[in-house]
Order: sequence, then C-alpha cells, then structure tokens
Amino acid sequence: MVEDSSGIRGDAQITIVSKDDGRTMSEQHYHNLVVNNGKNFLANRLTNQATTYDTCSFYNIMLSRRNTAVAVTDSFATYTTSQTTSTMICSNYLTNSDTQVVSSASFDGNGLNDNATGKNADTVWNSICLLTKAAVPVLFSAVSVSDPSAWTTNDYLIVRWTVSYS
Amino acid sequence: MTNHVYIDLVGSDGEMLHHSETTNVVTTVGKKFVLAQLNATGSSKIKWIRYGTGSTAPAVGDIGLTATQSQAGTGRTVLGAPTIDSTYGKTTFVHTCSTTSSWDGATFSEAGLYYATGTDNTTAMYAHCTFSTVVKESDQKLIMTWVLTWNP
Repeated sequence: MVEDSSGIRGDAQITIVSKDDGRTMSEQHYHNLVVNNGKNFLANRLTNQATTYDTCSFYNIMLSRRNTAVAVTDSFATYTTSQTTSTMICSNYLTNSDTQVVSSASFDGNGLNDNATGKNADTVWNSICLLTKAAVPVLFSAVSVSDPSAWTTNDYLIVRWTVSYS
Repeated sequence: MTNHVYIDLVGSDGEMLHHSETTNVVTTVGKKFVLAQLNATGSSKIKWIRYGTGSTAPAVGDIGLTATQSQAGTGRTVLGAPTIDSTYGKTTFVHTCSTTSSWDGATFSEAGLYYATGTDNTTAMYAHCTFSTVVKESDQKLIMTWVLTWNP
C-alpha cells in the first residue's frame, strides 16, 4: 500500500511586540498542531449528512494557563480547567492563490487578567488554542508556549495561525 | 487527508472475484474546498461519486474524470451517510453497484468524489483515482469503499 504524505497542518507564529517602541521582543514558530478533535471536526464538517457543524468555522484564539505539552488527545476541556481568556479572531481568510487559512488575533498584556491570581501577563499564560465555534467549542489546534516569562504587561502578544492542506 | 480506495467485485455466491486498492489524488479545488469550510459557514458536503472508464493517471489539476461512465445515467450518484471514527476523524464511504441493476455490464476504471450539486463531470471534484478495469455482470455487485484519513 502506498500512502501519500499530504495532510492538514497547523502552523502558529507567536510574536511579542513592545508597546513602547514596537520592537519585536520574541518570535516563536510551532508546526503540525492539529489535534484529533480538530480532525474529527473537519471530517464531520465535510461529510456528515446531518447539519451539526454547518454553522461552525474558526472563531476564537484562546489563552490558557495549562503548562503541559500539547497532546493529540487534548480537547477544549483540557484547556478550560485552567483560567482562560480568549479573543475573537481578527482576520480569517482563504488565500486566492493556494490552500491555506490564516487566522490572527492580538492580546494586550495589560488586559490579560487572571481571575484566580490577580496577575496580568508574565508567567500566567502557557498555552494558546485555536477554536471553532460550536455549542461547545472544538479545539482544533494548540501550542504550549516555551517561554511565557517573556510576556509582560508592556507587550502585545500577536498570534498568527496558518492552517494549510498540502 | 490521505484517502485509500478499495474496489471489490463480488459474485452471486459471495466469492470475491476481484479486489484492488489504490490511493487517490486530492485535487487543488478539493483542497481549497476543505479549507474554505474552516473559514466560513455553509452546507457543502462530500457526498457524490461518479465512475468512469478512463485510465489517465490522476493529477492535482484535474477537474473531472477522464471518461465518464454513463450507463446508469449521466448524473452523479449520491453516497449514503459515511461512518466517522469520532476519535481521529477517519471517514468511510461505501457505495455498492447492486446485482441486477442499471450498472450491469458496465466497465469501471476510475472514480471521483464530489462536494457540490450539479450534474456535469467538471464541477467540484474533490478526489480522483484510477484502478484496474472491472466489468460488473448482472449477478455480481461492485463495492467501492473510500476511506478518508487525516494526516499527519
């Protein structure tokens, strides 16, 4: 049996930008991050004869305090057991020339209040999630941030998530 | 998505007369369809199949089958609801050309999956595959099993 190597993949770029002068303080890249629930969502979205997922698409990028490496078996609940905050995706489009969807969102470090501890950014937010809209949001992809201490209240955190099919 | 296709020809006594397997090519328009579903709401689904008699190797730029099989009509055939492995999203479509049906005597050597309504061959073909030629007689049934698996 010959299998091809094509597949769906999510690549995230996380940039921390200083509010003071716009300098890029750090930039991180993560690859191949689609979890099983994301694959299942897509399978249902594309093929189910019912309409369960007809009104669903990428919707939120969410921050979580979870500080464990991402596993393909992770779900939305995995990341909501910790204090979370989320924001609507700012842009979300399919390029005309090829096959990728780019979603982006930005977070103000000064506004990332953690209700559990009263802290703002800094070491609190350890994971970032790409979610679809549904009665219960579906986790499509997630990253565990390797250096969360780089985030401060004086920074913006910008997340750019590219999902492609090659 | 890695897609694997199984083609089985079964005789009246249940004997397996032919079995072959192949992968398919996901077309460029098919990939765009998949990602567009993540980007906007809508009701388009992969739910039609069409057979053909062509043998040209599938390519990503294909927009239809090489030579459509029109013995059972010129339109597409609606697939039944697939089974979905809810853990990994693996999706399996099965289509059967039954005994004593309009497919009797038909020749098959290619097939395509489609995701939008329409009767013409060149609208919305998601995936395309070719396989060893099979001729289905009236006392036989052809079973086409198409497995869609997300990868990596």
